[in-house]
Amino acid sequence: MKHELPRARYSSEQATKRPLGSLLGSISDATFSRRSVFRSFAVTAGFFALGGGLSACGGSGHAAEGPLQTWDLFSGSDGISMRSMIANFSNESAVTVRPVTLAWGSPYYTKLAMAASSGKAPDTAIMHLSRLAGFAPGGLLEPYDLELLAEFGVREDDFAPAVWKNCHYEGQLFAIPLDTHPFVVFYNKDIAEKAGVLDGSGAISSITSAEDMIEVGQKLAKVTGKQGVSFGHVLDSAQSWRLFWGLYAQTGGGYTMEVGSPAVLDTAKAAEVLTFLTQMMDGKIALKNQTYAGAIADFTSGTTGLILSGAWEMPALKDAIPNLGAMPMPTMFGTPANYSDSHSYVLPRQVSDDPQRRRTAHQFVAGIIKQGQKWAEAGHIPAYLPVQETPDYQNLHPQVDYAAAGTTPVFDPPVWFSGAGTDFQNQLSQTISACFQGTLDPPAAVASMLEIINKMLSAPNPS
Amino acid sequence: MRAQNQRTSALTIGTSKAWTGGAITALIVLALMWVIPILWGVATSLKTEKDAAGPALSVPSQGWTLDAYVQVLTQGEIPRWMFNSFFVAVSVTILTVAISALAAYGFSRTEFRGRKWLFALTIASIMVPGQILIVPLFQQMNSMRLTDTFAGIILPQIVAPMMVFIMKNFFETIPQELEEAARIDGAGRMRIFITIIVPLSRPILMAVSIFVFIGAWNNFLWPFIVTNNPDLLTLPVGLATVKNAYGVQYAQSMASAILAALPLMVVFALFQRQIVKGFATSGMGGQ
Amino acid sequence: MLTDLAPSVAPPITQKTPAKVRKGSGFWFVVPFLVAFAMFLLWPIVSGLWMSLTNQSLTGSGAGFTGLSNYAEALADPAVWQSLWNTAVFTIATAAPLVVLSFVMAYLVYVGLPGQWLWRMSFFTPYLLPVSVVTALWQWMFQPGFGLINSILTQLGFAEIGFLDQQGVAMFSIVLVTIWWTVGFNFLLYLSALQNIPDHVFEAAQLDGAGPWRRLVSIIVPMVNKTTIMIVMLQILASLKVFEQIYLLTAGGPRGSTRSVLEYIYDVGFSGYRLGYASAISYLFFALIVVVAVVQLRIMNRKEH
Repeated sequence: MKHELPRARYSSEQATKRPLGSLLGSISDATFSRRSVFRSFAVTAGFFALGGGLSACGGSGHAAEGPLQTWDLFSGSDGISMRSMIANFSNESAVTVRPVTLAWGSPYYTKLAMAASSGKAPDTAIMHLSRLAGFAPGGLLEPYDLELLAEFGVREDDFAPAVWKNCHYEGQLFAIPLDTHPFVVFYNKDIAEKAGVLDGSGAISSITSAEDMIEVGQKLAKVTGKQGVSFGHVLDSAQSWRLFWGLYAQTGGGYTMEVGSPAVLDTAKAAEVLTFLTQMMDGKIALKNQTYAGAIADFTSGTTGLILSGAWEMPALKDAIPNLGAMPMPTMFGTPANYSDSHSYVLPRQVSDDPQRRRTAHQFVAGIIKQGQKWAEAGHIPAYLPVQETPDYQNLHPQVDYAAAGTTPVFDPPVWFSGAGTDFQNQLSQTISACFQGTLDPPAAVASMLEIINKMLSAPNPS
Repeated sequence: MRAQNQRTSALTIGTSKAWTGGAITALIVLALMWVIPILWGVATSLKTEKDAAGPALSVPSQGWTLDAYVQVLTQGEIPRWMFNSFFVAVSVTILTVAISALAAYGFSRTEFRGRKWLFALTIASIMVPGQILIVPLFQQMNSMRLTDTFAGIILPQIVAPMMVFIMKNFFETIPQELEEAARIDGAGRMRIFITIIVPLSRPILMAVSIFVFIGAWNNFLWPFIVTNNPDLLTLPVGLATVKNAYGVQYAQSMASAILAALPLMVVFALFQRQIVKGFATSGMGGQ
Repeated sequence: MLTDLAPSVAPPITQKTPAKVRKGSGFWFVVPFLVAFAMFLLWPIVSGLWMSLTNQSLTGSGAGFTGLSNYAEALADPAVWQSLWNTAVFTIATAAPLVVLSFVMAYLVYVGLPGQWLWRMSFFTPYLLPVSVVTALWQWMFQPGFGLINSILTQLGFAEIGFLDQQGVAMFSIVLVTIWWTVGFNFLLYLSALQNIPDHVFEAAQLDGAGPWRRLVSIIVPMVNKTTIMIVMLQILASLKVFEQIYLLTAGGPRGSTRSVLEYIYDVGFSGYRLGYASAISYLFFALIVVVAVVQLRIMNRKEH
C-alpha cells in the first residue's frame, strides 16, 4: 500500500513529472546511498581541512614570510624595463620579489586603496605622485624612514627639489620618485630641417612665445603638405588637461583649490591659453579633432612634423623616426613650467608591523630607483639625480634633451580627487577637448571647468 | 531522446517546405552567430603572437601552434587561479547545498515556533539583490579581517534563499508516509533526512548543485571586491585585473580565456541531460 | 510559480509521531542557514543602512551620524539620475530581445534538425563563460584595425565603428554582448518548457488541421506563458543589477554614457572612497527594485487569474 502512494501523489505534481523514474529507482537503492553519503561526508571534511589550511596561509600571505610584494601598472616597454630592473635587484640583493601588474589608471588605484584599507596591501607599490593627495591624508600609506633610506644610499639631495617637495604630506615623506615623465614636444628633425626651424645645433630653439609656436607649426605644415603639429585629445581622458594645465602654469596665473570653498583660477589667463590652442588647432597647423592614436600615427608617418605628447611615447616614436628631436614644453607664456607627473614608490598601510619587512621594502625602493638609467630607456627622466649626471645618461638622446623639464614640473593641484586616472582629469579633459573641437568657446570652457572643479570641491573630503 | 524525435516529426508533418527550410536556415544562422566569437577566440589562441596581431581574415603566416597555451600554463598564474576557482566553487556548492537542503527540510517537514515567519523572511529576501550590498559587505569583511581569505570569498556566497525555496517545494512532494515508517522504526530526524530525504532528492540536489557551481565558478563581482592578493584571485577576476607586464599578447589572452571557459564547457557536455532536466525538476522550466 | 508561496498542502502530522522526536527539534535544521543568512544578508542590510547615514570613508574616517544628507545629495546628483536612466535603457534594450530571441531559438531547436545537443551546446555555451572571458572575446571582436567585425566592415568598404568608445554606440555594444552571453539561460528554460508540452496537445492540433503558424501562435505561445512571465521577471531583475560587463568593457564611459547604477556605486564607493554615499545610492536603488518587483508580482497575479 505504501509503495502505491508515491505514484498517486507524484502524478499530480507537475514539477516532478520527469524525475519520477529516477525517484523510484532511488528508493530501491536507499541503503546503498547511505554508505555513499557518509563517504561523501568524509571527503567533504578532508576538503575543508585542506581549504582551512589554505585560507590561513592566504590570510597571512603578506605578512612576515614570503617574497616582497610590489604592484605596478606598467606594460609594454615600461613593463619590460621594470621587470628587468626587478630581476637585477633580486640578483644583487638575494631578495625575492613578487611583482604584479594591474590595469592602468582608476582600476589600479581603486584596488590599491581597497587593499590598503584592509591592511593587506603589497609591501610597496608604484603611485603617480599626482595621486598622493588622495592616499596620504587618509592614512592609506606609511611614511618612509629617512635614516633607513640613507643607509641604502638615498638622500634628499639626490632629487630635484620641486619633485621632492611634492613627495611630502604634512612634513612626512610618503613617496620616493622613480622618475618624472613630463608632457613634452617631439619633432621630426628631417622635416624640421626642411622647414628651416632648426638652429645651429640641430634643435628647435626659436619658440619663446605663442606666436613663435604658430609660426613653427605653419612652416612645418608647408613641408608636410598636411599639418605641422600633432595633438590627440578626442575621447582621451587626460591629454587635453595635461596640455592646458602646463601652459596655464606658464602664465603664472596661479590657483586656489580647497575642499569646501570654490576654486579660484585666473579666468582671463586660462582663456588666453585656450584661445591660443584653438588658434593652433585650425585644421592647418593641427587638426582640431584628432585622437591620441591618430596623432601618433600622423606623426610617425610624417603627416606632421611635431607632436605634443608624453615622454612615455618616446620609445614608440623613436622606433618610427630615428632622427627624433625633443625638448621640454617651450616657454610660451613667460614662466618656464612643464606639466609632469612622477611614478613614485609608496609603502601602503600594513596591518602587521614587521620592521624587517619594512627594511627590505626600503632596500627594494632604493635598489630600483638607482637603476634609473634602465628606466630612462623607456623615455622617463630618472628622478635619482646621480643617474642623470652619468655620461651614459648624458649621451642618451633624445631623453636628455627634455631632461630639463624635470626641474620645473607642474603637478595636478593637490586635492584628494585629482591625479592620473581620475574622473577629475577625465571630466576636465572632455571640457577642454570640446573647446578645441569648437563646441565651447574659451571663456565658456573655463567657466565649465570651474563648475566641474567646484562640484568636486563641494563634496566632503572622504580621505 | 527517441520520443523527442517522434514529436519533431509530428510537428513538421503538414508544414510547407518553405516553412521548414526557413526554420532550418534561421537555426543555422543563429547558431553560427553564437559560435563564431568563440571559434574566433580559439583560432586566435592557436596563432603566434605576430599573426594574432595581424589581419583578422588571413591564414596565419607562421602556422598554427599551441605556444600560447604552453606559455600561459607554464609561466602565468592561470593554474593557480584555476585551482582557486575550483576550490571556491566546490566549497560554495557543498556549503550552499548542505545548509539550503537542511533548511528546506526544516521549513517543509518540521514544526517550530516562528517557522512560517522565518520562511516568509527567507522568501522575501529572494528579492534583495545581493550586488547592492557590496559596500557594507566589504566593510564587514574588512572589520572581520576576512578580506583576502578564502573564507571571505566563500561565505557570503553561500546564502541562497532561492535554492531553499526550490528544495522546499521538492521536499513537499515526498510522501510523508515514507518518513513516518522510519520514525516508527525509531529513526531520528537527522537520520531520516540523510537516509530517506537525501537519496530521494538526488535529482533536485544535482540540479541545484550544478546551478550553484556554475554561479560560483563564474561569479565576478564579489571575489573582485574582496580579494587583492594575486595568489587568491579566482580565474574570472585574475583574467580581468592582472595584466601582462610584457604588453598585450592577444594569443595568450585568448588562450587564457579558452582555458578559463573549458571546465564548465566540459561539465555541461557531460551533464547536459541533467542540466536540462534540472530546469524542469527545479520547477523553473515547468509550464 | 514563484507566487505560489503558501505552504502546499501536506497531510497533517499524524498523532502516532513517537515521543522521541521533540516538537521543536526541526528548528536545528534551519539554524546553519539562518546563521549565514543573518551574517551575510541581514547584517549587511542593516549596517549598510546605518552607513548610508554617515560619511563613512574607505580610509576609515567619517563614521559619525550625518542624517539624511547623503540621500539629499544623491537625489540632487545628476550622475545618479544618468546612471538610473542608463540602467533603464539597458534593461529595456536587453529584455525584449532576450525573451523573443530565446523563444525563437528554443522553438527552432525544438522543431528543427536532428543533433539537438549541438544546437543546445551552441546557444548555451556562452552562458557558461565567465564574464571576463566574454568581455575578452568581444573586446577582441570590437578591436579597431584587426578586430573581426571591423575587419569585415572595412573589407566591405564601410568605415570602422568605435564600438566601445563612441557615445551612443557603446551602450548598443554592451547590449549586444549581454544578449549573446545570457540568452542561453532563457533558451534552456524555454526548451524545457516546450518539451513539457504533452504530445496529445499537438495531436489534437494536427487533427484540427492547424497550420504551423497558427499552431505556434495559438497553441505553443500560450502553453509557455508561465515560463515567459518568469523569464521576463528574472530578466528585468537581473538587468537592473548590471555591472560586470560594463565595468570590464567601458568602465561606464564614454562620458558616463554606459554607467549603470551599480557601476556608479562602485565608482563612488571604492574609487571615490565614499562608502556612506555609495550606500545611500544603493538603498535608493534597492527601494526602486522593490517597487519594480512588487509591480511585477501584481501584474503576474492578475494575469494568472
